[in-house]
Amino acid sequence: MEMFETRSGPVIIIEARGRIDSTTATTFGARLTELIEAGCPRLVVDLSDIVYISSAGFRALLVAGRRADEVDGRLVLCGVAGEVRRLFELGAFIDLFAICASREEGVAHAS
Amino acid sequence: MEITIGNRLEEIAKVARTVERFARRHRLPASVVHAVGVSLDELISNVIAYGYRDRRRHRITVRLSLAAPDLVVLVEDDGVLFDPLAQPPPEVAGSLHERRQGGLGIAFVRALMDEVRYRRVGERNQVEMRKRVSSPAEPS
Repeated sequence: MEMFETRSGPVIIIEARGRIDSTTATTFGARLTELIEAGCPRLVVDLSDIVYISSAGFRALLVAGRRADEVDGRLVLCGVAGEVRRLFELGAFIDLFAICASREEGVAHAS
Repeated sequence: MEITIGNRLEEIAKVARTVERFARRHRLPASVVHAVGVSLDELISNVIAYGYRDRRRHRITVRLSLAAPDLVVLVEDDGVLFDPLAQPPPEVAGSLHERRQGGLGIAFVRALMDEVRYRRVGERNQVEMRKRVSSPAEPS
């Protein structure tokens, strides 16, 4: 798993690539929490280039989402499509997270 | 194709790479890599987290084979008796702050695979999963 970060105004866009699984979820979650706690609580996580996300990845997203909430920030997701979306639906995560159709929409929503 | 790993989370990456190699060789679609990758991550991380009462090194074996029209995935470990299919379904209600995660991984496995079976063979757990792969191509 790799993470690429870009900034758009007050929002940081994190693009994850590869597998978010029980091995990589810790790094993934730790980076999100680190950004939130370093004073950048407005995040857009782009999942369009991941191979898959397992329940460990969802756990990391839940923790980061809670943390962002606590500091009045926002964790927005985009690129949730196909098989990945199926898991979001199965775990009833669709209504739990702000999910946007595109990065631009995500940035607008997180701003 | 078969791979044996030790009971350490970092080693799951080897399994994931084996699945990708197998899928390339047999030209299986990305949806199959997704289903098998997630399912193996869920099952193996469960075994590593809950399967062993000692601190010794253990082995977990994954076998991938094609038996048209299915891809058959067998996971075998020498952990304590654990039937993942006997676990209660996850609670998927509640807000971001209330959500608990137990059982989600196994629910993913059940949903992504066409068939999942558990059996205890001697001192070993065996989980056999089947995923339909519409028209498996010949190896290139």
